[in-house]
Amino acid sequence: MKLRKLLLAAQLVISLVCFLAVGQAQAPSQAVVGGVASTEKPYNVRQKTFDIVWRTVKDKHFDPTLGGTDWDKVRQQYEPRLAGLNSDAELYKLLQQMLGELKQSHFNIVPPEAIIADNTAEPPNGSIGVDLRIIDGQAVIVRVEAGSPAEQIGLRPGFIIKQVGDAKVEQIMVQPGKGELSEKIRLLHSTRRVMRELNGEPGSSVTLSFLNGKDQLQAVTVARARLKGELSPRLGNFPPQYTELEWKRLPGNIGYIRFNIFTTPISEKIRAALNELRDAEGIVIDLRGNPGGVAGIATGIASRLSDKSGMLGTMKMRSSELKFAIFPQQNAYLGPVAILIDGLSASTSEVFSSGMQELGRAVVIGEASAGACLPSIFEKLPTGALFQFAIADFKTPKGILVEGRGVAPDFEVKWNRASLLSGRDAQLETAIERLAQARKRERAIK
Amino acid sequence: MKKIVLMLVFALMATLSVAAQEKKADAPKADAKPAAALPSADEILDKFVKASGGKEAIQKLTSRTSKGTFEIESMGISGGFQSFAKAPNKTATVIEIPGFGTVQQVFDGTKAWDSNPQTGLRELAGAELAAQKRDGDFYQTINMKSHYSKMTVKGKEKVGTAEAFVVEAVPTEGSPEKLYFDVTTGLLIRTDTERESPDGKMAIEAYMSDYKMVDGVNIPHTLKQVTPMFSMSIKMTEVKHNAPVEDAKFNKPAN
Repeated sequence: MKLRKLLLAAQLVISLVCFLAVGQAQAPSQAVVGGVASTEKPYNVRQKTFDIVWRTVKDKHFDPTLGGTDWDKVRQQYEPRLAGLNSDAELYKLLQQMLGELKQSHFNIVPPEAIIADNTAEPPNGSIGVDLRIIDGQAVIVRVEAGSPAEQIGLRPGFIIKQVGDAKVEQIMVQPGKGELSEKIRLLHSTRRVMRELNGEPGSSVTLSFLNGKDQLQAVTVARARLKGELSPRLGNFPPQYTELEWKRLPGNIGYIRFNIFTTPISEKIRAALNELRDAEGIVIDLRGNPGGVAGIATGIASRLSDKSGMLGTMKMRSSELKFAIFPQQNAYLGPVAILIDGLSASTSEVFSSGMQELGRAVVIGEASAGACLPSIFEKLPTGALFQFAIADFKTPKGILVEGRGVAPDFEVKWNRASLLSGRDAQLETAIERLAQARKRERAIK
Repeated sequence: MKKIVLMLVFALMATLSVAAQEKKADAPKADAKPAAALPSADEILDKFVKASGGKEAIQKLTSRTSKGTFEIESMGISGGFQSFAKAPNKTATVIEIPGFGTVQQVFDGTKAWDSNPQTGLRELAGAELAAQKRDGDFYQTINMKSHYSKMTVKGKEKVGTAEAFVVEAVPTEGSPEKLYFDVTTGLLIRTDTERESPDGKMAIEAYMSDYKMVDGVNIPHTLKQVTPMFSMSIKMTEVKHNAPVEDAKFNKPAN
């Protein structure tokens, strides 16, 4: 009798292990996982793969009307093209185009060669140690990692990357009007593409030209160093992801926590960081550039920042809905919290920031987020590729749909080249200011 | 427990106020036969107890430890679990999800908790706690009626190839459940329940199969749980009875 209820705890937990991530956060490794050796003719395998993808959307999309898209007509339009395909790569392109008809995030085909092998925690990729954003059409460095090859060679925030290898940055970026969901998503994809060109095999090098702080064009060759973070463990079909977290104490006893993705190893690290920062005047959680990840991690972090039960929002599936509930934990940090977001903050980052904002538990600072926020899962296809598909929409506690809209910050502070060149991070500075004011108000009330 | 008793008292008072002529009942009663062709809920439950090994065999047991595996094929997730149960009403389940960590659910006879690396530790309350109390009863098979305020035979339905009597069971707290008993064997082969938690309600269909006799009691060794999101297959690989189980297994999990 009791077997029927045996693993309900796991059921619920796994229900919240849906993934909200806009594509792979980092450049993929060379390793191939899940390739399927098949004796079937390639055409048959491709037809089967096509059928699964089409049928999954038809049967499992959270909105049975598919937002008005005539999915049968879409099939009629795309299926005849299967016969002319010469490779699986062409199939993936076709499927991605077909999924693009939905005009929603979190419908992706991940080719086998883009799936990181999970036989090591050591990241396979190398990086020169910069992060960048597209500001006014230019690829501007916004962060240079301390001690990285980029720092050693003299690259600084505010410098503009003009060329990577033989390719001009304008050629690398996604051009407007190429079927992107929105301008924000186009910029997100453009940034990723430039980053992919900058990063690569550890030990290899890349030549780039850039505009320095005086707008002088310079060229350097930079060696790529192995990334310092770790790979998260595979979680079912969710491949290992490059994961890094840094925390520190800023002047004024303000805690600062930045992590690049919501994966399971992050939970424990954040718990440890929050314990260390228990006496901080305030805490900044930096989600700029964070593409999302495992959705439930967001509720776990919120639970360590709250003494009240509540929820970050609701995911609505075709026939049911689940709340992203917060369960306050012992020794939670209850001081003021600021969250930094920008146009590359997506998915779980949006769940966390919008929920915390509406609960009044955090002030959100920076630029509007990506507006790519649909809970999804990954299924393996007969060709070995992964199919990521959204199974629910996400609404904030006040019922606002985040997909296509994004999270609007309480205090908009845009990335600004001039301030970056002067060594300032205007968004972080605003956060510190706001936290100090919040603390002051708290003390005045007491 | 006190809460459930109070609820029953209030329910009874309400009944008395609107139908004073009705006799006071000591315990909830299963409905009478709804149709000539169908057995009563009492008859179905009696057959279920017999099919499960009989009251005597069930009462000989005082503890159960089980091990097994689970798989969610569509998500590529699989792992293992261990479950401990001790009479009269203690349960603990430890689930290992690779890449995620350990999920624990414990009921010490009074309080229930769950713990996972994602959301941490939480104490269960309300309908969730009531469900734990219901399922924590080591002798639930023979005490089933006491856990539901009303059991009504709704008819017959096919479950796979088997024909089953459908019994709607209304718990003292929580949403109604549907229990499907195999017409031929008398065994419970499907349940439709709604799991309630602060995360919301989740409909779960559970299909029990591969019944095997272990120490005189019939235990399903395969379970399929179907939710709106995915299906989970669970297989028992080991079941032991009356082995010593430390009470510490049922302590509140560490945060």
